[in-house]
Order: sequence, then structure tokens, then C-alpha cells
Amino acid sequence: MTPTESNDKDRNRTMRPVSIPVILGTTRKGRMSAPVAQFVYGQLQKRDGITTELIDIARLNLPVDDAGEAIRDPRFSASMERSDAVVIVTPEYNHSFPGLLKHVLDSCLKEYIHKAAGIVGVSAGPFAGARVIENFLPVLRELGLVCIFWDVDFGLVQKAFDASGQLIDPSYIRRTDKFLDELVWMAKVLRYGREIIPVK
Amino acid sequence: MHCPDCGALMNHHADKPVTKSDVPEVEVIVLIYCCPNCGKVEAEPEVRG
Repeated sequence: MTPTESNDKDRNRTMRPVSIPVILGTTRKGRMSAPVAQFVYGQLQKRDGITTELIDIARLNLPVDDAGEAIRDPRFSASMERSDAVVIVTPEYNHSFPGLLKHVLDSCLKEYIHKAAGIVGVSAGPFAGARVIENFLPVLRELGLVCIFWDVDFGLVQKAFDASGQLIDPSYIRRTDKFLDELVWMAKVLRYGREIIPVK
Repeated sequence: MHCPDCGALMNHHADKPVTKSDVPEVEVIVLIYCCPNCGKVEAEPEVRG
């Protein structure tokens, strides 16, 4: 391969859109994570070179009489396979993440390996989801995801959005942009690694 | 491994330990591949012991 051909191939790879779905990780009625996920999804839609979708785990309807890859949902699996990174919006329930979110994530494995993950924590309290994020990291690591070192923490979330779900605290725009900048960078780096660099 | 979708040679980028088998000193590894052309992900199990 000539240097020109190599450069053209690299350019094509770089120009492929980066796929970053947003997972809304709770099924609870009245969930305040829903406007958060919609906001992050909207911020991703504004970016050039990004494809995204909003995945609501309440709509997956996975069975609960089994677990793991045996209950894989073909649409969710395909979304994860297409993805270069994933944003997971998770509330903090009793210091941890919803069991059904774990149930959904456990239904895939190969789809996650060497892909980037960013966590958005949601809490009605003042600790802003910091505890759920800390508890979530080892799970994502075991799934093969690579977590970035930026999070977005929506504490006192009921004050961040109005009754219609519109953001009323503009500081979250800047925080989310920084978070997404890092996530996109990591997604591109890991895609290059997955496609080009062999394990041995 | 070649990509089942586009035929390109896939890159073997990860060995993921999945589960310990019932036999001591034997573990199941999943070999993970990615297509540099279309991004397709494939996996195949390998038992090491």
C-alpha cells in the first residue's frame, strides 16, 4: 500500500460517523432521568459526525425469568454493535443503579469490548449521583467498556428542569459539552484500536 | 477471520475471559474481532487449559 492509499483509507475511517447511543437506564414511573436523557440526546444530535439514538430500557421488555445473552434483544444488540461509545443515564436508587439496567446490559458482551462509556448520574439529592457512578464503574469495566474520566452529575435534578422537561440550569450545557468532547475522542481512539491494532 | 458482512480481514483486538470452567486450570476465553471496513464485531470462544 502506498502512503497515499494509506492516508485515503485513514481519512475514510475518520470520516465515518461516530455512533453514540444514549441509554435511559430506569423504568420507574415519573423518572427524572427521562428529561436528562432527552437533553443529552439533544446535545449529541447537534454535533457533526455523530449518529445517536435514545434507547429507553422500559421499551425493551426483556424477560426476567432468565438472564445474560440468552435473553438478548436483537435491536438492542445491533445498537450496541454499531456503537463506538455509549452514554448511560442512570439514577441513584439506594446508592446504586437500577437492577433492570444491569439486566439489560448483561444481555450483551462482545458488542461492548473496547468501546467507550460515559456515565450521567441523576439524583434528587445533593450528592448528584456520585455514589451510583462509583458503584457502576466496576460493572462497566467487566463488560469490556472503557469509562472516561468525565461524568455529568445531575444532583437536585428536580431543580434543573421545568415541569415540561426543559433544562432551566444552563450550567449543564457546558458540563455536558466537556463530557461529550472527551467521550467522542475516546470513541475515535478505541475504534482505531479495534480496527487496526491486533492483540498480539 | 473474515467479515461475514463485507469480506474484509478482521482485526483480532481482544481476548476476554468470560467464565471459569468446572475444570481447574481451564478457562473460557472469547476472542473478539472487528472489521476495519464496516465495523462489524464478531466473537469466537476458545478454551484454554
